[in-house]
Amino acid sequence: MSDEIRQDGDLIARVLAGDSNLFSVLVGKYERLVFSYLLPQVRNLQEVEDLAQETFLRAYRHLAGFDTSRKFSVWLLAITRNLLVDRFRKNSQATAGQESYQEMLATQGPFPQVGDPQRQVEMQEEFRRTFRNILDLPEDYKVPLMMRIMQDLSYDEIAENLELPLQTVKNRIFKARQMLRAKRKAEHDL
Amino acid sequence: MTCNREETAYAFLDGELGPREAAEFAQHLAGCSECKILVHETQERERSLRAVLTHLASSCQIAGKVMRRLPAEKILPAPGSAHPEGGGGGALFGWRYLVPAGLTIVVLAWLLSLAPAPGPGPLVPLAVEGITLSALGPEARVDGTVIPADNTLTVLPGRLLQVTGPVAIRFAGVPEAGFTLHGEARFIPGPGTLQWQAGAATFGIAPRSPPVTITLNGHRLFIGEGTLSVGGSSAEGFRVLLKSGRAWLRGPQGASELVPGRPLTLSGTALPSAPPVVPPPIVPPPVVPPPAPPQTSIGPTIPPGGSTSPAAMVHPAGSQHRVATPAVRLATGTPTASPATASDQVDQHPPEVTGPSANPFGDDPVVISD
Repeated sequence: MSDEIRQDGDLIARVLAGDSNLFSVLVGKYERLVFSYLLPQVRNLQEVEDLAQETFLRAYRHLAGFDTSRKFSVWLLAITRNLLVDRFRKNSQATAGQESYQEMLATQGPFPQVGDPQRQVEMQEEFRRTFRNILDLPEDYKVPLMMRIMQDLSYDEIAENLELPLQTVKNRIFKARQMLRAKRKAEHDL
Repeated sequence: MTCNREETAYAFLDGELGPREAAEFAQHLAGCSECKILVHETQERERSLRAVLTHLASSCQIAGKVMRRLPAEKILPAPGSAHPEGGGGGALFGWRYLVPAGLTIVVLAWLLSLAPAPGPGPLVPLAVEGITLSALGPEARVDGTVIPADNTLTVLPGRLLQVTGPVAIRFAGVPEAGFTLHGEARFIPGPGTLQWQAGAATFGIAPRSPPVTITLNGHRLFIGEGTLSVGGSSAEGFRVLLKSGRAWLRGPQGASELVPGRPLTLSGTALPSAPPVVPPPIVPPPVVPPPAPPQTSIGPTIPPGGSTSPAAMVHPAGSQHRVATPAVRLATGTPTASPATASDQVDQHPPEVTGPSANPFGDDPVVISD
């Protein structure tokens, strides 16, 4: 059993024993993972936030049923996946009218402040262009790439979390980067 | 792209190549401008993206929102477990068992009334417990409150702390406080880890103490033993200096061992154009590389004023502070450590780490440095 599984198992045992405040450690540890999973798949930031919250609340409700010999992150992403499927089933037509990331980013943007205004503009523009291109990638390619970029996960860890073969993850990340590169080249040539 | 090593270039960037492959690709990189540009551009793009998305994720404050909603939630019984509120569905609570169960309770209550009052039950040690802080001097504080000299303070992990040293920190499951902090720092402690927020502090880990991981904006700093200074914040960037002992850094470009006496800079979210500089790794002996090639830089150099330096960070006299530059450098089998890097510091006190290699992250060393 890995250290991570053991540590998470201990935390969960404490939460189940009544120390619910310790659940915040699990949320803090895995919120970015859930975010990186949802972000490329849901085009409304508020919905990403709602789904992320609901993922952790559902995990909390069903914590007693979690097998602590398994990886908590894999279980958590399975919950997120189920919530996403439910959401698509319920309101698949609703997304078209919703504010997309691009609109949100074009108006406000969650950008960290940089001292130099010109550098700030360049950074925002660069981010918008790259992020828009990532959103346009095929569904299967976005998530492994985002996990790699945002979470700094190894290919093995991504494969484990997404329950995919290692070679599939490698191929998807490679193809995603190739596509992004081709898009950039096309933009540059215009 | 005419060069057919694009896939290898990405694996190299991701730290997914073995030492031989990495060293071999690094040699190729020195002579292939296409690969150099590819590696540099990908690094820059993904680094900028990570900075903004990390900022976005933290600005949503998921943990706070979840924890505020938690009191209204209830943990459901595990499927298949005894179900006290199951409406009589569970066989254990069927009417057939009510009489014997009632009798058992009465007998137990009578037996307990005869027994002396029980003392506190034995504590079951678990890996996640409170983190204990002990003052090592009169100025030691936690969140502005002085820690009494002969007292300790226990805090739960997951909470942001403002700590002023000197203090000794003891993590759960560790018998002695072999980890000390001097200076001032804001961090979130977890099991065996500190999630650094801001400040300038020097950490010390006594030999044979369990290693500690400090997370810095997507980088993980693993201290095996010795003394190490950290300064800065997520927005400004970080400065790390291993004064003695052994430590490793894992970042977006891979993992590598720090060289004692050589400071390194990790750029913050405010400087997305400057990638972190990872010190050269120690490549295992079988690879005998050619002499170190000249540094191959591409892209602009960030001026020294581009990154901030915490006043309390101490750099050894004569050591030149390294400025983060978007430079890609070859892997070489020979570490470019300064002569001050004594071999006894590297080899004679290996930290207790597990895994296939001495690298605690279990990765092959990656070879991007200045």
